[in-house]
Amino acid sequence: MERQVYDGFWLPQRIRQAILTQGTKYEMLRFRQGQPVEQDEEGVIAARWPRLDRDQWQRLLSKLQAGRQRMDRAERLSRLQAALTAASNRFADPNDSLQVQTLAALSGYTGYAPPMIELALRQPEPVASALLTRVFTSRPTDAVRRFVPLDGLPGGIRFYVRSLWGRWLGRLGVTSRHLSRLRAVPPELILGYAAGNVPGTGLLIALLGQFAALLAAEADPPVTIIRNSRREPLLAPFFLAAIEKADPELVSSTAVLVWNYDDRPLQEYLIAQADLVIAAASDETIADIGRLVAQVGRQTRFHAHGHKLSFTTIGREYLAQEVHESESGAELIDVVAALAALDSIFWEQNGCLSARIHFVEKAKEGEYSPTEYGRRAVAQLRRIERVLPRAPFGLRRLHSLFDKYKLLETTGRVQVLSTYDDGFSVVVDERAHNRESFRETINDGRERTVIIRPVADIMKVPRLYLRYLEPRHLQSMSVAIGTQGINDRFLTFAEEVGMRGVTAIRTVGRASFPRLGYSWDGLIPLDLVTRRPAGHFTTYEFDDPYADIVESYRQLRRWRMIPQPDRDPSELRQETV
Amino acid sequence: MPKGEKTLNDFFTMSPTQRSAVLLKAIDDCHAWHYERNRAYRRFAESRGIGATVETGELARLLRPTAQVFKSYIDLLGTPFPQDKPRSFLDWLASNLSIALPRDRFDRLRDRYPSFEALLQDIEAMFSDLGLEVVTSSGTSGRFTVMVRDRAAIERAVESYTLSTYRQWGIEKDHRLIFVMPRQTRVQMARAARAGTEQLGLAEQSHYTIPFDATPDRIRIRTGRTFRPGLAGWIERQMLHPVMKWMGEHHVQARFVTETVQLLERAAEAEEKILLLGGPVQLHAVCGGLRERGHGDDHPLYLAPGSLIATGGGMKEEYPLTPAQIRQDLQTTITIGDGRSIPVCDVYGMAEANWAAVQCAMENYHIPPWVYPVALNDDDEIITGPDVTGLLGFFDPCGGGDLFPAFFKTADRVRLFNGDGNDDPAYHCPCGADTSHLAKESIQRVDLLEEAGCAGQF
Repeated sequence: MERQVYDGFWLPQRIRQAILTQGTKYEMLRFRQGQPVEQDEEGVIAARWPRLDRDQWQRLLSKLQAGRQRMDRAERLSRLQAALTAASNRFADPNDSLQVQTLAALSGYTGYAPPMIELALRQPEPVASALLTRVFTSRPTDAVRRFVPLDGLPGGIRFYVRSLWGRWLGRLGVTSRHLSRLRAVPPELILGYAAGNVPGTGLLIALLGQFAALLAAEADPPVTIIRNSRREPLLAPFFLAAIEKADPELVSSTAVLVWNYDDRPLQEYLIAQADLVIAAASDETIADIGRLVAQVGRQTRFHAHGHKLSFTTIGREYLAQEVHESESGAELIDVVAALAALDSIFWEQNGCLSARIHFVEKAKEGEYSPTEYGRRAVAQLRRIERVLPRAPFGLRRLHSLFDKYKLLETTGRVQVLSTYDDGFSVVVDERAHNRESFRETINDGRERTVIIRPVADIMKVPRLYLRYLEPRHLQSMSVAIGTQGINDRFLTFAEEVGMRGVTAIRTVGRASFPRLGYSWDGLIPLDLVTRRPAGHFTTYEFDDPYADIVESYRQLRRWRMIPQPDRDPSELRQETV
Repeated sequence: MPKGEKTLNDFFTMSPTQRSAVLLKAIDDCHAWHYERNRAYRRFAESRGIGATVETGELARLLRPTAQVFKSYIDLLGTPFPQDKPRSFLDWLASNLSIALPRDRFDRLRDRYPSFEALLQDIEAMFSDLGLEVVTSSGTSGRFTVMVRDRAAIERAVESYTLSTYRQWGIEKDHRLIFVMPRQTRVQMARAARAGTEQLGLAEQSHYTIPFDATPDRIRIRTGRTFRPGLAGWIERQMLHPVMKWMGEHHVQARFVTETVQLLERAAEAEEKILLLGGPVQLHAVCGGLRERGHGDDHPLYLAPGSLIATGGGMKEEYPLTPAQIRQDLQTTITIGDGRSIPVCDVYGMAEANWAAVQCAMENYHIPPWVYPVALNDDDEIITGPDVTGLLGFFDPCGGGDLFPAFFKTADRVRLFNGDGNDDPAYHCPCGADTSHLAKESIQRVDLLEEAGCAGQF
């Protein structure tokens, strides 16, 4: 029976040979199309990782310490950039065996469609982030008062102080000290935890380790040990191996392994040595790790990334009739609907970045209605589905949601725009909501379900709906607001959603592709190496939302992720680009 | 199924092939009849592209999810407390029925009711000429499935229950029936048990040992998962729930255990055959009571041959013992006079099902022959074959009577033998019955919303 066994762990080659012996025991899991299976069968992808004993762990740590390669920032940046570019190019090249192998293994193991994984691998990040050293060195002191430009990156940044006292001082304008007296605490050992089946979490933490090394230019780079997810253990090893091939010294103090959360002696052993713990896991797991950090950590900083919610907001300026994107001829509403729909369905809405609800501003004369936006989303999703088919996780839950909302149509406040046979649901929901019913509706944003919530004004989003949620639950907001650069309307919106707890604002179509230079759950790269007052950073990631949106759309069309053609450009009566 | 054409009892004498043909025809007829009259059902069918007639391969699309259909008032009303919106609740109820409720009576409803039970009583009184009766699920989540039956449907339900349980168990006039459940409740299974008992003329020798009525409101507060909003909710959460929980653990349990043990001991002394029926956790408490009275491994309580214990309702709360361990405990404290272990069989059912599947001697669950069961895959398609594992769906063409088509998709994953009209002798139950059956220990509640990634859920 055909079966592929991949390493679901990664150790630098030199250390691997010293630690792993013929007697090392391995744990192995088999998955087929995203479902765990017991036996070998056609299409099964197996991942294995070693079970290290205490002696092996001690030797591993000592060798990782010895592997720390000090170099000056310019040199590290240059080498990192070269290595990341080399690795990224390989993942983007369909003729490269690394891309072929990664797509087959990840798709078989997680169930996600190969083109979806390919699209994620094609994103220009993280190479772009590596260019942005100024982000790491600059201190955005004025960000405590307003959004300020990011030094070296498009977009802006704002810091929201958590304490009431700090917020009060902020109103008086005496706040600049908050971010000007940051205490440098370069970590010696970063311990990461990655969970879930959305690809890339372990890799993201590994890359943060690289950025911490960049920031700690005068010190040795940190040792980075990551506890990888059993549900997606493959991407980080593939990527790190590619970097190692390009420049082994960059990753000589990084290790990715899998161990049990309930192995308390091991957990205590590792946490006791960590300066910084980064956990992207369930709220329960984070609480468990947090307790251990408090008990055995030595002033260890803890960056927790629990389960989060993301949304989309579409301003009426993007619903104007007869406005077209020039290259494809697509109407602007179709461009936005396609990108926003893609944001929602990516990773089958399992990820925290997938938008659950699309808030769409109600139409004025000459603009399309939110319901028309929904119809366009249905059409776009049917096209996208041809290229990015659903993961084979079954249709039952989607059907349950479909049935639920069809029942709710009798209220006259709900419209289901998709059909039972679509592999997604698009629902326009105009029911009156309270806190509980709004939360239930958010829960329904699963299984490729797009819930459209018409709003009279985009400011209803922060002033009404986000008030139903606790700031700690919020993460990203995809937007299509403002067609001519950053305007006051957008800035007011950004200011208020940031205050409610949203930490990242991206244009539609980019929700699922976080960029490391920006805020991740309120933390920026600077937080890897400094202590600061409690609060969160919110960033927006563009200078011109319209240009960003058009560029995303064109790029997706070039990559054939949005099937062509839309409309003959010669038919256009009005163009905006 | 055309009325008067077949009785449920006739299905026991049909061959599996005959049964299948009769049932498939009955499903078509039932669909057409309700499609024409039942607004909610027609909307549902149309949303799945089904018209008045069912084409080959469309059968699975007729199955409505039990988790939604008769619970949908919560989403539609925007509250799990219909007593706050009686008129809307009645409108919802009417839209789910294939008979026309006299609309002129709707205005008689009050604007609000102090409790869900009060509202249900008023609705029953309002339509007493139709014999309407409202039953509910056990409601452990505090959110109840609400089903309506009229006189004809109740008669069918009792006939169905009696045939699928008492007939299978061999309950006769000389049995004493001990129900570890309240006499007054709206929980479907308990109601059917009581009605069946009365129909068989066994009311005089029946005992209900839980001393308090179980109204939906009491069940909701006691289970403590759904409370009313505002001050009423604060009182429920902070005062009534702890008191009811304490009462349940210290007073109610002591009372039903004492009374059940006394009845069992009396029956043992009089050498009467008994049927002891209750939830596994309640019966385990009775087991503890018997042990305290000195009945155990060496000195079990001896009951007359023909006695039996039946469990139903599953494990509603966390409990340290498994059903198998409870069964074993019961069999070590109670035995029958001829030295054999007392039979302990489980009953599988749900509020939406007008039937019950009873465990045979081989511990498999037999679905009554007038029900057409299927197993569904993860895409909601019927899995073909005589031995399949999937989500249980069932068509009970006479189960909903004139009120609704009883075609439902459950939330239970099962291993089903000879469902979907299959009749492979290799998969007949070793007990000898040729009906469709669920493999023992195969019934699992499926969590419909498991988490996979980092997306937050409330």
